[in-house]
Amino acid sequence: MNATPPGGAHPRASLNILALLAGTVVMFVSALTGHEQVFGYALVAVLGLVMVLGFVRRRAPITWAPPALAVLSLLIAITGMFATQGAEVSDVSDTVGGFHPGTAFLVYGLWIPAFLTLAVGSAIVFEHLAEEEPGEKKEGT
Amino acid sequence: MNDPIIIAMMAVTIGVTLAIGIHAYREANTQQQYFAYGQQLRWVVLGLATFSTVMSGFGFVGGPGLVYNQGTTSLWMTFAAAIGIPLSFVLVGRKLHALAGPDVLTIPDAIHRRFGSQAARFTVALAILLGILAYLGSQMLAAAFVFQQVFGTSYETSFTISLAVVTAYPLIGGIVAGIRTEVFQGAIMLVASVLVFGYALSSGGGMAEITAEVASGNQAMVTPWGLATPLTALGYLFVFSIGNIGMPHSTSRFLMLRDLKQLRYGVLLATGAYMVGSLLWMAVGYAVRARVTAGDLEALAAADQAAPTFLANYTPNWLAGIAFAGLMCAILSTASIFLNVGSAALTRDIPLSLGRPPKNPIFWARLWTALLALASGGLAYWSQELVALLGAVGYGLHAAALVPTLALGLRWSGATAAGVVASTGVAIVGSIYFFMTNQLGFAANHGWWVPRFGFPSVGFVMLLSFIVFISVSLATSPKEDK
Repeated sequence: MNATPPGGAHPRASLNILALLAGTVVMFVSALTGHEQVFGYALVAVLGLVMVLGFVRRRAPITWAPPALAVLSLLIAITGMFATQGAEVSDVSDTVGGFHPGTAFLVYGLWIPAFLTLAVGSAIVFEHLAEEEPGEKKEGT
Repeated sequence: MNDPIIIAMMAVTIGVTLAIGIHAYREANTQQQYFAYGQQLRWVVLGLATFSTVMSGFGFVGGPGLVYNQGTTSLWMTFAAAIGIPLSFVLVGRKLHALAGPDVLTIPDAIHRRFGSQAARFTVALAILLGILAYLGSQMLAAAFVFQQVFGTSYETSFTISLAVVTAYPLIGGIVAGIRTEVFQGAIMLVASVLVFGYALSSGGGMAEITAEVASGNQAMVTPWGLATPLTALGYLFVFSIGNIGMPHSTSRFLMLRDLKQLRYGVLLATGAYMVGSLLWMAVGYAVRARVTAGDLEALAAADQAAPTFLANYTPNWLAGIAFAGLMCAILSTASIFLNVGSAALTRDIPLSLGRPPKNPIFWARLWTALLALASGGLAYWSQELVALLGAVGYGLHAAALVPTLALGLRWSGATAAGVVASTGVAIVGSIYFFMTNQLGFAANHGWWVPRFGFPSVGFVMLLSFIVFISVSLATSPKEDK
């Protein structure tokens, strides 16, 4: 018995999967060699590709919105953190929203947007995500 | 501590937990009930149960301790869950629910249903079991630590009573008891998180004042990477976001859903509640560091004392009682679900993969729950140091073994059983290698290879597992799966 993957929307030689393989190889090599910025952006790409696997439905273009917005906010946050990592906090006036400027990108650019785009986003497009793709077979109960 | 209010709150929490467990006894009489909640899980239960088990005792004690020690670095672990929890719902939730049924109660069952391979079922069950053995002992130690702090009993007494409580209710009531107590436990943790967060902010005059105070002592602690390298922080983002998909105590709930609609609001509650828990993690660690920098508190002897020290000095007794109860709840919920998933692996998954279906499965499930608890409890009691080290391995092993299999295996039609077996094997071997290298010190003593630049070793194993899964799947044919 070999069940068709429910929602097997990603064919055997899917470009998405090949890109995921390339992305993880880049992450592996950059982690080995200490290239932190390369690793950071490769991580954003891999996270985006994994999100696409879960979100994108061919017949519902709206399902692109949550992963696209999540990747955009991740890109802005990571770029912002690298750009402001050297900022000094000598008193309260140097903080942004209660945090070091770089950490503010982590809190307000990565953490909260992740909830809004992925958790709230998936609830909003839930009906589209729940639709079955052509050829998809309902398994089990 | 010996405070009557705190003792009373803790005693009530443990009493209610045991009562719910005993009440569930009559219902937990079939495998579908004992392991899969009769596949009737609703979104409120799903959300609160996911929050309470994913947060675990580490979030309430270890997390604030890490912020106290490293600054922002450890926030990457907890903030990553805001990506990881929704990803697990969207990537894996619908797929596992679609596979679930009377014969598909566990993750290894689902893998067998998907790939038609007993080898894939066996290796996944083995990885789940090894990860649980590695992690469970650390939860036993944490429960004994909290019990000792609150009741002031000896270590031996605290450990024995904790072990009895942790084991009793999942043994009696299976997952029915586990899930129901998690709702109660999750609610307590949520209340404790909100209140303690408020007190933490007010102890330092607000987040900006706390940040400025910490920065005056050590500027690097408040930067986006904390005291670690950017590669460490970004590595945590990878490990604790995508890694969340591979946590069997969390993802196995998707096989228990009443219907698909439960995912819609379950994801909001689980992620939102976890983020509230993260506020406690962040604020308590920073607040204690700020008070130490300001000279109001003496430097802590151990980082794990950050949360207990804060509760003792900056919150009223009743709130400390709720927080300690919340901490005990976090530990109990994680330990109970691990016992249930481990018992399922021993009762059902491994025997089925070897062609030996269990006779009288509920008897065996209860027996394996007791033996698993005794084995990990015994290891924890006689080798505390080893168990503390093993705790870190459990998460990594589950993440590396299960993420490619679940995230890609259920979504990609080109995924093969050979890919599952190979990547899971890499995860097991890689986790053992890094345990011996890093935790047991083989790298220093024997010149074994270790990662440089601060990248977490778990991340390397996860990346290798991903690469192997895709490569082997591309090199083999799904038609070869048997």
